[in-house]
Amino acid sequence: MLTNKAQVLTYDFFIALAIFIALVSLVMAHWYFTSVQMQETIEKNFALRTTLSASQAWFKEGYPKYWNLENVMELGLANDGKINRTKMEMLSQLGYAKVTLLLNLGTYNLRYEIYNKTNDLIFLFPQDLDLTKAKNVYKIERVAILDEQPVKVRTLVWD
Amino acid sequence: MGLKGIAFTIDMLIGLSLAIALIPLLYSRTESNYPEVSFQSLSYQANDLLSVLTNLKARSFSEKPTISMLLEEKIISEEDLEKSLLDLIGTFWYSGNKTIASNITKEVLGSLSDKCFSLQTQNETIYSSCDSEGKTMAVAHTIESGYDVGKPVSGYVARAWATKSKKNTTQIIPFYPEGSGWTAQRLEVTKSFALPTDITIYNATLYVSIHFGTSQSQAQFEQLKVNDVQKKNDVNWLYLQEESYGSEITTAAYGVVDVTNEIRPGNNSIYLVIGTPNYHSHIHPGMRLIVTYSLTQEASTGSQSFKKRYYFDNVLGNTGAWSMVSFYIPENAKNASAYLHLKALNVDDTKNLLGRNSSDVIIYFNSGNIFYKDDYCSSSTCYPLCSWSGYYRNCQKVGVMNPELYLNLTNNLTFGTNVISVYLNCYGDIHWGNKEAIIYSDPLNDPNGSSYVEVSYDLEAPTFNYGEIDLTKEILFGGTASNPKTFQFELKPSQKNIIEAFVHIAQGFSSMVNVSVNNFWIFTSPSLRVVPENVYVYPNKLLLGNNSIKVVDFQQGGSISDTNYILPWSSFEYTYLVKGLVGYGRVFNSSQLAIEDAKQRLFAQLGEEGIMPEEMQVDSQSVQGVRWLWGPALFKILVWERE
Repeated sequence: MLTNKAQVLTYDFFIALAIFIALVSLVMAHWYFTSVQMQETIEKNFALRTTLSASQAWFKEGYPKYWNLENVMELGLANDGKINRTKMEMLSQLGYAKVTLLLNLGTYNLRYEIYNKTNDLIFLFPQDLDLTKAKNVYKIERVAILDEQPVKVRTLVWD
Repeated sequence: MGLKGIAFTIDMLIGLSLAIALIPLLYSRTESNYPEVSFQSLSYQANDLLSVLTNLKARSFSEKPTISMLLEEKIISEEDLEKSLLDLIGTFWYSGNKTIASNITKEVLGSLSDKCFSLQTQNETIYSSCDSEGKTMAVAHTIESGYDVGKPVSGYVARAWATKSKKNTTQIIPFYPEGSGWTAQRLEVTKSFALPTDITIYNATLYVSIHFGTSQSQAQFEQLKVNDVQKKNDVNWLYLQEESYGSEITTAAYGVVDVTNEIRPGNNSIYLVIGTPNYHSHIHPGMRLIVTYSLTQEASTGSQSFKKRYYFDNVLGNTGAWSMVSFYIPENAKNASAYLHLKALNVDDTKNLLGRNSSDVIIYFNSGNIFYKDDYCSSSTCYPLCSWSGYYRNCQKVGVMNPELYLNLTNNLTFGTNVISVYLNCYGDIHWGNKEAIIYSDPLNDPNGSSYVEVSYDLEAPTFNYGEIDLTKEILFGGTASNPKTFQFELKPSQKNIIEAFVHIAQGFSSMVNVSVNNFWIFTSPSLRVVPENVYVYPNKLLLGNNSIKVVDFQQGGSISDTNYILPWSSFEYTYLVKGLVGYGRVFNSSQLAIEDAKQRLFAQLGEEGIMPEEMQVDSQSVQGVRWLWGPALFKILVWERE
């Protein structure tokens, strides 16, 4: 006489098992891709924050208020709500490495571009950095005042 | 075999439950980036744009079409280009030039940002670069107040005031209702008065209001001398009203005569003699002299303490004499007091049939009850108990008196119009005694010996401040003779500061009157024939624009008089203040320009009222940072992503 226990290995069981394994696999795959996406978002937001922070250098005074090449502790290129041309021109003398260090850019690269009212490029820092090999480029464009004229300050950060 | 179906129940149900539970996970998402970062970016850019508006001068955008056009058309000056952009935008916005403000915003900010942005102030949008609003919007704001376009922010301002001005004004010298000359005997009235000495008289008009004659053809109009020049034949009778009472016929007359050539600066006198064959002659309400002259006045501050004398006219009656003087106490007066000095001459001292002394001097004050009597009265009217014939009481004359009285009126004073009536050997239509009685008054030669009422009071504030000039004008009622009579008139905004006003009632026959202004009661006669020459009008009852005065003559019983008309030559007299100074005006680049401007403003202001400044003072000051017209106002810049 056959008992009911032997019936667990019937094709009904295998169908249910297949469905279960398929669903678990789907969930695992989704979990993996979501994790990757979130990681990318975190990195992107970090980069955006870094870009914002780097752009903010054009709108703060730094420390000391009127710093020079020897005593600069915090990088700020403005005074009285306007870009201080002297400070701006000292950027190249500070050097790319020190500027990125002061801005705490880490592994990111940096480029500043300033355009006048007619969209002509009037300032570039650094002069010789190539973006062609950049993996991800982050950009913010802001409006500042230089020599009593409005200018667009474009800050580019990439890794 | 029948148990195979169990797998589809328990197992499948478990599997399906797991599957259903996992399905939502497939649709779960994470944010592509943190919204705070995006918002922070927008916030930075909003502040950047606001910084451009507040920190950059308009000159930085002088090449923009709108600002360029404003410069070319000289709507703005080079100085205006030194103002901040937000200042310029706010100035045009708050001066009503909203399109200009919007265009400047568009031209300046439109080229600087590729984000959507909107500049707003006080919940109004000056300019928005996008039609739709974003889900996330960053706001930057600031408070600003601004300069007026075309005005420099520093320079000179000036004010000016007249220290001496020449004005044309009007003075009204009233004759009191007074009498009388009985049965063809003469009533002689002499009015002596002083005008300012340093005036140029342009016009002097004498209105004559008298009761004379039994009929118009029997008028007993003997003398009308103005400074000894006979004018009786020059009177133009405007109104003659003949009334009969039984067989008695009497006439009221109202006329006018030009006395411009006779009235002179300084002391003047007018001498009137009238009579009537059967009745008694007297002066009716509305007789007055109106003098218009120019006067040079020095700037001063009005007084707070007043002491005024209201002199009686010199009245010589036959028999009996009476006069009624009115004066006023302002509604805001403090410490008001008044006394009567009466000097009477040739008053008959009489006794009645019972040999008791009669009251030959009777005085009424603000009441129908006797205020003063010199002796016994047998009735409330104080008519002596003597044999009579018609209006005459034949009392026993025991002597002649020259009574001189000082009566304190203070306790019976009232705010507004006060009336005191003096009767010698007479009251109403009854008279007694034999001959003349005189209410003596010669204010020009014997001011302290004359009859007068002296009034004193204080005000909490001066009637006018330094630099204010008082002007008096008179408007005739016009229209037709009627009872009641309503007069409507308009007061202009420049006449808003009225300090004194009176109604002068002109009547033929009269009884008692009730006067109201703008439906506000101001005076009711306390007794018969008490129609004052000046009815004081409370200035605070007058309105800018339309006003109305209503005068009603009524009988003692209260009914409206049938034949006692209010004549068209009744008038409203008012004195108002004109400011003889102008404050600081526009800002000019030089002190001289500012002073010239202040002078012109003063000339224009006073010129409108016919006043010519003869001497003036100016005060010029340099000023810095003058703020004009608008603000403080909240400005907001909103920035959001394009969709």
